[in-house]
Amino acid sequence: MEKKTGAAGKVFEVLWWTLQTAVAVYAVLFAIFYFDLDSKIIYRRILPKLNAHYDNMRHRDITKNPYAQNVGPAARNPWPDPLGRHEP
Amino acid sequence: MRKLPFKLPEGLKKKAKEFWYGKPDGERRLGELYEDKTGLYKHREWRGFADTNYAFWVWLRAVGVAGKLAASGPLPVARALMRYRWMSTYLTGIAWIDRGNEGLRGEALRASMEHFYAMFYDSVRQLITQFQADSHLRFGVRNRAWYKTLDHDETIPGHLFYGFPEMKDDILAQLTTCFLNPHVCRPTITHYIDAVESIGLPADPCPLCASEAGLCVLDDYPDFSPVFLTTNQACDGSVGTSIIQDMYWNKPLYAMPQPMRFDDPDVQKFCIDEIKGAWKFIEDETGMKFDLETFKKKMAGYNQLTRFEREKWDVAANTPYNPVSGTAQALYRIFYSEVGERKIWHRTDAKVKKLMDRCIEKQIRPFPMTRHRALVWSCAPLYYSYFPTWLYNCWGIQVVMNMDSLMSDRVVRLDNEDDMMDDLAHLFEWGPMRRMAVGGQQHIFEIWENYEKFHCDLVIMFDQVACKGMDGIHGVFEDEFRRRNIPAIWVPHELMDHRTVERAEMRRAVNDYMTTVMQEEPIDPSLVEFDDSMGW
Amino acid sequence: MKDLKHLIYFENLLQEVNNELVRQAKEEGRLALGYTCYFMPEVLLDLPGCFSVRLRAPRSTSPDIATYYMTNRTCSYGRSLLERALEGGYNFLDAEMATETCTVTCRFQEHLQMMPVIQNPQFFCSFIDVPHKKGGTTYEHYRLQLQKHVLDPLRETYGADTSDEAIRAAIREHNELCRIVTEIGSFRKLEQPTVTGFEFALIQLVSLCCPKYLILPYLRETLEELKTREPDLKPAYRCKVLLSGSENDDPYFTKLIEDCGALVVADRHCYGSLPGREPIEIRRGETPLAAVARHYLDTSMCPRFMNQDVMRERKRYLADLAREYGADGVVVEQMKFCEYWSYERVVDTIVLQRDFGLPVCSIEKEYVNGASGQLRTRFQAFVESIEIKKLQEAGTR
Repeated sequence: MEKKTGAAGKVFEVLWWTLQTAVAVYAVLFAIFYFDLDSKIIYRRILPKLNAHYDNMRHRDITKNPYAQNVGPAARNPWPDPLGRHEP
Repeated sequence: MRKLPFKLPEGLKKKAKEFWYGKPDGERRLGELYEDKTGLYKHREWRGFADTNYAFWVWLRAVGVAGKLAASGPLPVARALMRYRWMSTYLTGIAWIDRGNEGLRGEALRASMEHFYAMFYDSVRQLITQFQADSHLRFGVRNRAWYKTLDHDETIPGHLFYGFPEMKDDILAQLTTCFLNPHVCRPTITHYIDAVESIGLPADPCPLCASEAGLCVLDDYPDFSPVFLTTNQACDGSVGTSIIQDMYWNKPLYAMPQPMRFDDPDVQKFCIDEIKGAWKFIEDETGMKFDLETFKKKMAGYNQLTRFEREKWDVAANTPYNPVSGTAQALYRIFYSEVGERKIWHRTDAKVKKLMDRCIEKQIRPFPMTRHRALVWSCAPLYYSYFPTWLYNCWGIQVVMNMDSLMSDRVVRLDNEDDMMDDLAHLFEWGPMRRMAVGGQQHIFEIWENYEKFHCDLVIMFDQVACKGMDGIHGVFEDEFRRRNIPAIWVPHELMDHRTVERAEMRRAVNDYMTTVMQEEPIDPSLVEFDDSMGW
Repeated sequence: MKDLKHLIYFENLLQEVNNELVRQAKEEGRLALGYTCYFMPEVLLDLPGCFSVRLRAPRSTSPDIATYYMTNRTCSYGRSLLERALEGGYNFLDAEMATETCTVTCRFQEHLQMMPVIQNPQFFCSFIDVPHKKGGTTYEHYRLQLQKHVLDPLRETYGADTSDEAIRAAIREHNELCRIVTEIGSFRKLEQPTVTGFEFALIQLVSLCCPKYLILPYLRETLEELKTREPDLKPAYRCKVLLSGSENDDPYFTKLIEDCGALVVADRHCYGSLPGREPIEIRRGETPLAAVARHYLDTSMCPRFMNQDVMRERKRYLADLAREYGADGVVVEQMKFCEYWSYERVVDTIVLQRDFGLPVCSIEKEYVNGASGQLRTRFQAFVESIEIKKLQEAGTR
């Protein structure tokens, strides 16, 4: 009988601890949710830092990208081109 | 609520009721929740015990989805966040869900929030797919996923690529990088518009196309595919932006423009040829083979979505029991019809169907404050996509249907290959904006039949200042509204660029009309004038 | 240089859309067929009994009523056309052969369909769908569109002869006109050209806007004059330029460039001759209509084309033209609010300078160039920059 009570007591203790933890986590998360703390932190702390980082980033200059002719699968007209652009 | 054995003081009784049910219609004063200028909430809305917990539950799920993104590859995701400016907008994604569902309760809240959650979920899926293949995040290394992922213009719908079982995924290049930006965090996209203007593009082209090109200028597209497919949809600007995209990508590019005069039966063969040409291009360039049975299976799934969409329209048109808000309807429809068949849409539709059936069975009116049933026409502002939510909360204008939802309305027959290709061609041609804005003025004037069909008494006519197609027909609309005695509110905007027409100015257009012409009082006066100029 | 005999006459003809020659052709019972775009093959509108009129709105001021219908945020070319139509300036038209190629002209032509603007009970406006690509099945698609939406309506409404023989006859007349205009244009390739850009613009425009059979005699005479025309001893220009870009039917825009010291030696714009005045060749086994469809798709350099190789070859085409005509630089103009050319101009400006070493002057303009002071400044600065570049190159040699 004592053994059973001990086991049941442990289970109860674990369940009680789990419930307390769950309630605490719920309360914290709900507080973050209800007081819009996630958006406030992002707006006031995270995004300004990220935007400063992006503003200082160097970007590849695409105006220097090669622009080769005769690229890709082309449906070329086999006949002489009236503007003389393609080989017949 | 069960009666207590003792009497509570009146004030406390009211507070208890508000705690349990939320503030009643007409007393919510939602504008007082906003912090001045930023639009952040002093606290999120208390919608009653059940509804607030439901909103909290959706918030938790969204946080979980964001966690899934981070867990999919912490290093690539972190690198992506530092590499791509647009990536930062996803930090504000959960706030986007809030804004789109302000003031909603009960079935309306649930149905609309499920739509938003589905879009958020799928956006994250697309991000994960891109980052798993993105060579920019791997110091230029192209992994196996890179060779098996397809990159295409956002207005090429995903259904065209169902038939490639070896394909890891197809991604609409601009959906997560560009299109969703202003919905979620409007200042981000302006950097891309400014960037493309810095290399000489004038300021007047459509800002959607301009920002697509701007991403090229700032080298802010992920590189996850060996090829790129472009299209002429939705407009001349889309054709133009391909010129800059080609210069940027400098990889094999296949253009698959659709015919403009899509009512003409003679053009269908040409469109079918383009679709088959795209399939051949993918086969030739990537080695992935097209399989008709795989295509049919996925298409059958998408057909189900189309059928349910029509069911929703039927309920929206003929009853007051449609639980889907105007904002959710518009965004979800355009999102899934472009992305194509995914399991998340079916799960969402199943939930929404249950809610809708419950509303019909129990005659629940999800939008009880409705004073006007509005049809929204023309291209909607992306930086104020939740405008219909504001319309409802402030003035009781429920947006029953919008123009872009009515596109891509075609069930693809699968029993016969010729019919299948014909329907697929039509589905491709009837894309966003394209279905109404080109191919003859009779399409844009389907507004009149839809106005009747959806039993509306008001039109919200968006006036996208950079849309040449709609600008070019403006006067005839004015004449027809007068001739048909249809109240119409013209709301100016510039699609992606909030700097041209701020949200406050859009609200002012409605406020002025409702007070001077309709001579009505707002349902929620706190929403009439407020400053969100520094907000997302 | 000695004045060309018919130039003032050409200039006067261009002051009105319904000019003296158009009226004469109408009186002779011919059908006036309007169009706006190169993708509407003018040769098909010049079938026996018909004549083509490429629409302009000369001497436009402020298109106020058209702005009500089309807002002030659309291309002023489309609005000016609508304004002229509302004023009754196109009442002589028997049909408008329309293309859904660019949004604004498409909307203009839709207004002609929607509103009783043209006071002609038999007037109709018929649209064709034009492919965004060249090659493959596009030729057949285009040919079918021309058959169904140009030839068939003409035959059904007006009993016009649209047979193969009629098309061949139109092609012959068209090719003769092309030969004459091309030969006139070839004088711009000379070391010292004997025809100015303004003069050529007038010649090219009258060939587009007047009945071919009536303008041809004048063009033949002009060609004969030019064969013996001597250039000025001291050229009035300081450099030569190629004018490229979007819609431009204003010869005074070319004159403005030339008043700033640049000679316009090549015209690669929507109303220009490059491309536009190449003869149509009917190949063996081809019907005349199929030849027309192939020709107009193959020759067009419109930024509407989306094939990757075609997008890129447009830049090389410009560079080749500049070399062929001895141009020192390129002026890329764009009508304000033209979406296609907004993007094309960006890449032209980058690639022509970077890859082909061509100085580029990249500008926006209106249909009515009231702000010519600003443009004049830009062109003068461009001419000076070319002169400086030439001096620097001469110095380094």
